[in-house]
Amino acid sequence: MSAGDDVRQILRARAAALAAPLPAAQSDDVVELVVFRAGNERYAIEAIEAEEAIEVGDVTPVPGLPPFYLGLIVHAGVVYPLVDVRPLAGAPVEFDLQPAQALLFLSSERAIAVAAEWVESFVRIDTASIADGKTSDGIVLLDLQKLLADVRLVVDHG
Amino acid sequence: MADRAEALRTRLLATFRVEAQEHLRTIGAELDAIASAPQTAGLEDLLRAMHTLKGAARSVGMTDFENACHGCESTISELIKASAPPAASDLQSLRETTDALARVIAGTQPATSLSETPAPTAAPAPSVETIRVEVGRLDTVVTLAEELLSPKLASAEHVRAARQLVEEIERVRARADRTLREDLRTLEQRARQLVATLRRDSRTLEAAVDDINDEMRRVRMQPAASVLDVFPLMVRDLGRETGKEVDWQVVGADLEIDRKVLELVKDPLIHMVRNAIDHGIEAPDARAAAGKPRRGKILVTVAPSEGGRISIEVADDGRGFALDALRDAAVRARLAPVDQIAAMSDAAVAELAYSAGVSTSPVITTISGHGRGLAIVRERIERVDGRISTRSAPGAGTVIRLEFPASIVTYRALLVLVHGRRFLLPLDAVERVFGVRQDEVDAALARGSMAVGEDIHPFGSLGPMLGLPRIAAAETAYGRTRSCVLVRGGDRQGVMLVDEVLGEHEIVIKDLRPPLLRVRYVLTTGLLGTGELVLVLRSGDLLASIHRRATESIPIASSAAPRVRCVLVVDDSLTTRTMERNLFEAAGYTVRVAADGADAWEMIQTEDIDAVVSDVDMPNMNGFELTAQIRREPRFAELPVVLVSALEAREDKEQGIRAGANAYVLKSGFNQANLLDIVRRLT
Repeated sequence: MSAGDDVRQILRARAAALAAPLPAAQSDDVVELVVFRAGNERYAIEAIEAEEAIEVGDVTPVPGLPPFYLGLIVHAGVVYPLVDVRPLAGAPVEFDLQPAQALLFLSSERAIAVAAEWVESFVRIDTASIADGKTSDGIVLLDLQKLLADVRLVVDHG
Repeated sequence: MADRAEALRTRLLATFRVEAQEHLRTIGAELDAIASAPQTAGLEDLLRAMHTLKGAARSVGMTDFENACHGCESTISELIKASAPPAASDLQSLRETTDALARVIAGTQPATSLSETPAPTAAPAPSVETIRVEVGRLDTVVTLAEELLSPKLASAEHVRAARQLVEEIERVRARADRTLREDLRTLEQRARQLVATLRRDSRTLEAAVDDINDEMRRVRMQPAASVLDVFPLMVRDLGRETGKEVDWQVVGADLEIDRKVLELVKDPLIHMVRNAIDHGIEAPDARAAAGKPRRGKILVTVAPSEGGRISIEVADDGRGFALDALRDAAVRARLAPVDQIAAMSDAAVAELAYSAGVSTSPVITTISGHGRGLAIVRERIERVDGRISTRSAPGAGTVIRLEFPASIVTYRALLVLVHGRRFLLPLDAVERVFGVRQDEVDAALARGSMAVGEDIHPFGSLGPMLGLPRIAAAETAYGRTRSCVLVRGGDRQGVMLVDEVLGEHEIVIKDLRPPLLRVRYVLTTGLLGTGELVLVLRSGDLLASIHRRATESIPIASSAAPRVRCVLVVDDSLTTRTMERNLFEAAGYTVRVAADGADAWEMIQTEDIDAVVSDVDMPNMNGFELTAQIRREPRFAELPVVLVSALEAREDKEQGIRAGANAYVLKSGFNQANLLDIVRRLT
């Protein structure tokens, strides 16, 4: 085994530790969520992760992209693809979204706008009340990091 | 860090030197004019120039220089107040100071000497060498540098294409027998070397082009002060005109901004400041009554914003947006139904101010009130990829914030309309644009190629290629002449049918980011002057697509006989003859025509005919008789005959086939592509 493999193993163990489930939530663990509606479901994303919620103006459609890409929007000099999260979250797509608003996520590697029919509110929720990825009143919690890393989003027509 | 600050200061000083020389020249000329004809007119211009020079000196921290300017400014102000022609001695002292300032700029006199009595010592100030360049010439260089963006984008594509070629050779080699395998290995190695070379060149080109454009951007940078310095005078004048008292303050005037951007935001800024004075700030008595200081205040803050952008905020402490008046004005301008406007949030109502035709001013003054101003401001700001937003508190004032990139790089592209959507083609990929008659388009579509001048190019329709939904109503709207674009990419060319060519546009490039790594047919995106985001198409992908289609639709054409084949068109109708002649000629055949069967029979016997396309109903000898006549002669037994007829009855078709026709095509279902295909199959 080479020294490089050693290091890799240590790093892997560290990563696994970081990804381990949190200890049982205490009642004072409160997260702030931004809640939005898309189709027949309400979704929530941790508010600190959302860059900005904006009104959607013109959407430029892009031929040849998977159907959950609704097109491109531009905001503050950055082009974002507008994404319908329903199919990615495993929800049925019964009708086309009419996205009036969008939540923007921007990092050095990625730019994504999540399409919403409307952004409802910012709510504070006790993490203890979250079960099965849903809050007690049925809002679907989205793990933004997982969503951004979803391979289905990657388009590379080589 | 210290190095960077020093480098910035050096650059600022260089900019200042050039600017100062300009102002000093203006001042010198004004002084000459006033001296030759002593008068008060011209003093205002002199004051303006001196004031701007002072501001510029302040922004680079040349205190002695600034003070000297300030002294001159005071003298000139006194002369203006005196409203009598200036005395020769005053002019003389101004002249001496101006000359001293010029010597400091030229580096022949230290700046510290300005605070003493002028003494022309020749101690050269340490200076960066500068040259004066005409702005127009600078712009030309900038444009040239930006033109290099196209080959830069294209070269990355070429590397990709070359790599694909290597992969193809690899695949072929895997299937080849031993003797061929060696040859292919050599070939593959050479191709790999070519890829390596291309990649290296591409990287070099990319780095160089980016560096050149960065450097050009830096050359164009100017402190915001170069625009803002005209404002104090304007504010004073407007205050006088409206009977208001206004203080003016700027923060961050030394921030550097692309001259191109500054020029574009200058007018919007002027408009915003006029608005603040005319609509925002109240008259002194009204302010006093509201418990505010009599003098209003306008604060302009220039600050860096995220992502290399700049924000300029214009804040006044006036009455704020009159939201109710705005609601009324929006109703007057019929922007939306009354109840909808009534239900709008305050922030949404403030936004209404940017709609054309909305003015709250009961009186249209010369300063503002036409209701178009803010709409134009927004349009101008969006043109440089900027945004505008408003915060307003009733009674406390309004803040309008502009945010835009510190610099812009533009790119020229051709805007086209396809199935109701707009797309851009990189200008360097467009060889030419031309109109083609509908029937020629149909024939070209059928055979997948079109002749342009001497050459025959693959041909395709852009809409179906991009998979765009058809718009039935639009199809007929483009009339008899359709627009075609000859596109070039690498060594390939091809003709693409579009619905409309909307002309050349200057765009700001906005690249896609992951997870959109590479989207077929899409090179990048561009912002039009209107702020609309449009896809820039990748010519390489388009050409690959139409070349593929072209080879699919004519599988044997390439191996077919090299001789040009001759089709005899027989019809008593001139229209049908002409139409069919065009169809076959466009497909590369030579065409002979005959008006009836008897004529045709004569030509068949005397000329080299490869196929006969004949009508049935004709005088003298009809199509059936002609076919039978041809088949009677053994040497024409194999000559293809296609009957084209309006006779739809089954027995007619049978009669035609019995007479010896190879095909019987109905005119009612007459489809040119179909006819061409049949003839192509038979010849």
